[in-house]
Amino acid sequence: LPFLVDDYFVPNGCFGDGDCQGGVLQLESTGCAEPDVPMQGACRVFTYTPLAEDAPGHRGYLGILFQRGEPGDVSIGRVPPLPVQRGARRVVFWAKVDAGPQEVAFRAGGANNWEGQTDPSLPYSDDFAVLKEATLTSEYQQLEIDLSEVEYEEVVSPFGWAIETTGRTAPLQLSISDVRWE
Amino acid sequence: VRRAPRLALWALVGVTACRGEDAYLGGGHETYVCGERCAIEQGAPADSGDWFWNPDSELGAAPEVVYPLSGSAHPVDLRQLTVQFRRGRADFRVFRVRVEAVEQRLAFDFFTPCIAVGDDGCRYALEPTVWDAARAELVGKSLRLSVTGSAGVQGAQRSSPAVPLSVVDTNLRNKGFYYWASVPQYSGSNVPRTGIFRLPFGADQAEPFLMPGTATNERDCGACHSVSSDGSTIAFTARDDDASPDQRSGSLVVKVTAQPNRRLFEPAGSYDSSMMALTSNGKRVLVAYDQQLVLRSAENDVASGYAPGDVITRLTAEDLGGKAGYFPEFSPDDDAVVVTLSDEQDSAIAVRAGDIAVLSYDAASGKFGRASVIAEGTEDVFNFYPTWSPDGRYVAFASAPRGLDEGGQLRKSYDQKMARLRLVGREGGEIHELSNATHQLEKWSTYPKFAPFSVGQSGSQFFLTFNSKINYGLLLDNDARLDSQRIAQLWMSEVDVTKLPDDPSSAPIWLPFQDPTAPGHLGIWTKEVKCRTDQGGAACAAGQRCEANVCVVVPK
Repeated sequence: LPFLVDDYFVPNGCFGDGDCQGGVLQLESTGCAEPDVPMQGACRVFTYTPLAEDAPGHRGYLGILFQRGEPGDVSIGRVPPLPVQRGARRVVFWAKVDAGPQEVAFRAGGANNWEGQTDPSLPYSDDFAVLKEATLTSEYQQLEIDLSEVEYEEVVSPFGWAIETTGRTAPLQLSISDVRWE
Repeated sequence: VRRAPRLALWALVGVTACRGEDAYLGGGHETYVCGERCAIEQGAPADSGDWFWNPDSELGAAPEVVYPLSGSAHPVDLRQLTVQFRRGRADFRVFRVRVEAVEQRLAFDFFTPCIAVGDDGCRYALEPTVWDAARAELVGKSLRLSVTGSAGVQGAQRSSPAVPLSVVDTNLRNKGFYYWASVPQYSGSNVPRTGIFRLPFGADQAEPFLMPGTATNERDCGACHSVSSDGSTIAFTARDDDASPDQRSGSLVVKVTAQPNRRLFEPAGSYDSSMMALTSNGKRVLVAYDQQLVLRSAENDVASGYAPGDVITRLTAEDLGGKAGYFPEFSPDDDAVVVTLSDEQDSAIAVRAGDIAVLSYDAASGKFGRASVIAEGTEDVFNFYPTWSPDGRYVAFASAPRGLDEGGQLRKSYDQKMARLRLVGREGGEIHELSNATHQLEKWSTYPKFAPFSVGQSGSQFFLTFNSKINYGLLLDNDARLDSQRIAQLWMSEVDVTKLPDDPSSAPIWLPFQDPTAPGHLGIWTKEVKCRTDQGGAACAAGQRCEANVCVVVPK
């Protein structure tokens, strides 16, 4: 600690609309054009094109968990954890959307352990889950997820986000930069 | 990051303590003021500057700078530099990254916690505003970079050996750079976005430009490319995503860069392109394929006498003294072309033997002169991938030993582990090793491309980009990977020919718009990046604006 989430984890845990297939999610990892925030780590732009209600695979939301960059099956619950030094106080990061306001639920932990729901048939899960809801605008804001009450030794997913579409089908661009555990 | 508005104070105050002691009770000093030449990173204490007044301890390990590389030359136009170092003692809590011009007693200090990388590594991207000021103030001066770790205000501290480096005037800002990359998507289909990206130099972000399966490239793959140095025209081989080493499914596609959704002419339905070169104005393209070089028209001008795509001249091995031509590049003045000549083809895209040769070229007639070999291959070594210096007086290229590789296969130019970088005069003569640029042997340092501009009073300083599988500090530890899993990245070195016959090259820098987890290859420079006009209006990527039909980076 501290460490940059993008140095150890990648955004490969998709849940929601079409499981990110078929153009639902496009990811730019070559940086952000206007980071205009202090930045040590990667800046990624996620473009989410929600599925219409009558489209196959429609769920009305999309989420991404950062997990280890593993070959093969990266579905949530099948990616093993990484040991992480104890004592992190928070996850801190910068985020914005292309057109706000937009509610976004950020989270730390919670892989195969969300709202008390765990699938015991899956080999891996986080021991903790912390939610941080935020209203994003087109201006970057620094947000943090409080980890001060959290106990862990290993972490499957140190960071993630989810968006509910509430009928929206227009593409939405979410920029996330400099995600740190510290 | 916190920065105070006042001027920095850099006063080296003597502190009385004994070397080897691990804590310091005495020694007064003025309170450090973090001003314009200082930045304090998130997570470092506000009084970080006061943690570094003690003499260096001799106990425990000192930090060690891993990146930037010793002797590297950093373009004044390039904003990002991520310093990577080993932390040394485990009790160090704050680190000072110092960039200093010793002769001028001028220092820029960056205080940071160890942002962890791997087991004992740390990373820190120099705070851009302070680093902007540093580059402007330090350009042309002899510099050194060091990292000092401190355990506390009165705790132990130790410094790394200083790494010499320089900030060089490059005049590269807003010059165009086109390269092939494979950018991971991670989620969904998990198929990487592979294609040709571009950016005006100085932009933080590269723009996906020719992407397979889109209107910009309707086929599966497009990697081998050439861009005219005026930035007007791009040519590439569009092909199926076949895994065969021969890749004989590629067709030539030529587009004006302002309209990448449109082709200048219909591609052939069959194999007619491997590697190619455009003239500086983009009106002719010389295509290497099937052991021949074919000059074709790439202009839509009736007065030229040729329709787009028309074949003007064809050079076979018979015309070239019995060897076929590969990997062509036109000289800056379009008065010659440099090629690899080979009589031992490995596949349509690779050779196992090679000479570097220059052929004169007459733009009016489209005719080539006789091949003049300037770097002859031998029984032991072959030469390939030539590129012209911007003044047309030198040619850089890659060389590798011939024979069998570790797997018992004959070595080839493509993906060649043993490739190293070299330089020769246009007329031939002594071949100079670019050892500093190559940096380490057996690390795939290959496919050099000169930027078509020079700096320095006599225009003697050039910039050379190339692919290499050396480590990018601690962030890409290629040495820990199997050969087959190493990741090529694009690097850049300065080449100052006034240093000849000594090695004229500098240690390379990593080009920071890349994703170090994804391969990058074949960087081609242009004088400018044209705005796109096929999307309504004149468009540039985010963070840029269109000025006089050219994309420029919006200053921050």
